[in-house]
Amino acid sequence: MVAQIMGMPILIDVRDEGAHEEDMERAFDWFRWVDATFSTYHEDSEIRRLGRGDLDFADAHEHVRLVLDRCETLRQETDGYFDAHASGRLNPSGLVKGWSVDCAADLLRAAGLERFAVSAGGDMRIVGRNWRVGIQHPQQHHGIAAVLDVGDAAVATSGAYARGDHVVDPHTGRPPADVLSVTIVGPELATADAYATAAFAMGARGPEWTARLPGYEAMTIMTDESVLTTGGFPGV
Amino acid sequence: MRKAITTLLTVSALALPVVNTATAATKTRVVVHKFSGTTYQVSHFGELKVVITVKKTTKGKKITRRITAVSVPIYPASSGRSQYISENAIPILRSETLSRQSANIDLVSGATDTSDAFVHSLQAAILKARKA
Repeated sequence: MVAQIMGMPILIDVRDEGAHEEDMERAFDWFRWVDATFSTYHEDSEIRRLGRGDLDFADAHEHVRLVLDRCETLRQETDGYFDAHASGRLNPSGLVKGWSVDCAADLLRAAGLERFAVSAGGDMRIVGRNWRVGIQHPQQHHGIAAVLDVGDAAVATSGAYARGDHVVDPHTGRPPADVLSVTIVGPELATADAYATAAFAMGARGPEWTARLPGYEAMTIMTDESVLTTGGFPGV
Repeated sequence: MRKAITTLLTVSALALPVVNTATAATKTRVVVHKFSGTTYQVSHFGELKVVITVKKTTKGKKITRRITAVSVPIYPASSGRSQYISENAIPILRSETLSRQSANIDLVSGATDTSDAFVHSLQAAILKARKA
């Protein structure tokens, strides 16, 4: 099933036997709640109210406090390359997407599902073994750069092609040179997505940084089309 | 405020030409169905919907399904940029769909706005086809 929430298509693909529409609907309801609470578009969302100073951090929903705390941890882990304030105002969307997908996956697993994928705008969390994930070619609109065989993992790709140059180096305000896209594979999408954004923003320094991430593997496609992968990156 | 348009279409067989062919040993039944995917709002460019034609061949207990055609009956064509996407990207994406089928890919990571909507609408159509 697919629905357009948080400004992007969200896909839930269940491969377990039987009908699971109700479970999927509950997961979509979760995403709708996340959208209403974390939206940077809706005037009355908690994020907008926090940004305006109409809401104190201490009074925010526990999920909001958790996400913002995690944004701060990630900002430190990534030397400031992942920054919820990069645009000049509070925008934790870069973490909210991955985090909400992880929560939806937990919700579906708790409902007894064992083989499914949840994908939000091309970043996904996969449960169960042997899923074939194509990585969009960063320059050929219609091409696949690699196919990964993954199981029980999150896959996030950050690149210049997604919605124009939306990732910028927060230290320069400009999109990074040298790198076309970064794909991160690891246990959680929240972290994988933030790492992909940060590593992409780092430009030429990104591959070396990704080699030091415990539990997360990376594939970086450089502007000269060379492909750099970390040691444990799944079958390319 | 961004407007999220979600039109979840119910399963609709748009055309049902049925062809029966019988061989000497086992009976082969061929059914052609059309499945429409979900209609997507492609950011502010417009809507996109994918329809696939699937040929289902039943030979004894073996069932094979093949996408024989992909059409995009609804696509963004309002402004200059979306015109470009409609004329250039969509025909390319169509041929890619057929080759992706042979690559047997479950999902695609890191897609653009248009192909995202395309891939997801297509995925929705394939999910319907798999159950039919």
